[in-house]
Amino acid sequence: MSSMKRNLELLPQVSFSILMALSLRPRHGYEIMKQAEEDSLGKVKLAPGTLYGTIKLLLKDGLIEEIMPRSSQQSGRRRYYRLTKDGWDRLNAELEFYDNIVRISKKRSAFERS
Amino acid sequence: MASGENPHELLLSIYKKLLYLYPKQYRDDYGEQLVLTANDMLEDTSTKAGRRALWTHILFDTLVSATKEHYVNFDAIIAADNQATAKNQQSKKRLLMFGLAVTAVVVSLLLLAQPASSIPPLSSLNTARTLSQGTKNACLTNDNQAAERVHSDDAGFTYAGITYSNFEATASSGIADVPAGTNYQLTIASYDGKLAKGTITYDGNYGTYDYIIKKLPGAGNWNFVSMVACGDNMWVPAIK
Repeated sequence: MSSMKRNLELLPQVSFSILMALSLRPRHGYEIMKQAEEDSLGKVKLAPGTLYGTIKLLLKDGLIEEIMPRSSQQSGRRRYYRLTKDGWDRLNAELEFYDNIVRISKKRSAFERS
Repeated sequence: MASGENPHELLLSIYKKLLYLYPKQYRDDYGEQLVLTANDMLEDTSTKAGRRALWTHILFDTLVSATKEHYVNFDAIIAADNQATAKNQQSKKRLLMFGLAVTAVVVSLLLLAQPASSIPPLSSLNTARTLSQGTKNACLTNDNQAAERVHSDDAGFTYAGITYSNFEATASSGIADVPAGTNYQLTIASYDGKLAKGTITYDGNYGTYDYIIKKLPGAGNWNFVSMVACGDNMWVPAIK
């Protein structure tokens, strides 16, 4: 029996949540954590180890980059991150995928009701 | 432990020691950010029970992520060594099994030690109906001032171009066995900044309940804590 392989490798939940959080503006780690929790209605609760382990991978893959803080108020020792162009492209591709799934499921619900 | 020490600082100093579980390179790169983030989380948690739950979460996360970082590190070393030997593969497996064993032991101990006072959020209307059996409650009426305070503390979010209130999102989708999109009417009878109480009536014969909903710290999310049938449907059969 041959094995099937998906053509699209979707991002893991945590990576997706971080990219979504950074889609609004550059953020430091704790802000990313809070935004991810808000975006998921409390279902995604990150802790520091998982957060920075994933940030490390996203930096390595070139989907996010570190920036210098804009003002002295934002500085101190916090590191801020933002999406790269590749990060934006990847996030948009994932959102398009989920959007399509929602569209298909709505059509199917309408079909079942009729 | 010195008396009069700030428990917040004590937890952070323990956390800094725990960072030695991570590989050195990872610690050098992210150690400071990990401590800053843990500090923010602790500062944002106001209750003792909340800090206990948070600390459990951070501890478990540290064990899992530290094991993972070592595994990834070891993997990179083996990949760089073109003569990956059976001995290296065996050491890698031993390291992973050790990490998983430590994590399993700690998680088991933490689960056994869970305080009885923690209240899990309500997630099922059938549970609410079962708890309502034999009760007799009047339905709570709306208080405009309480309702205004809830809406002012609430946070909204935008999804696919539509703005929702977190309070409304929880009422409409926070209970598992009420189908998403079921219409409801609710009153807000009181709100003390953490707990809001009122009555919710779902369409489609799902019933009317006095509810308590708890505001979570941070972003204005909510969890239903309890529901008890009120008014004419003081106890109703379970949803099939």
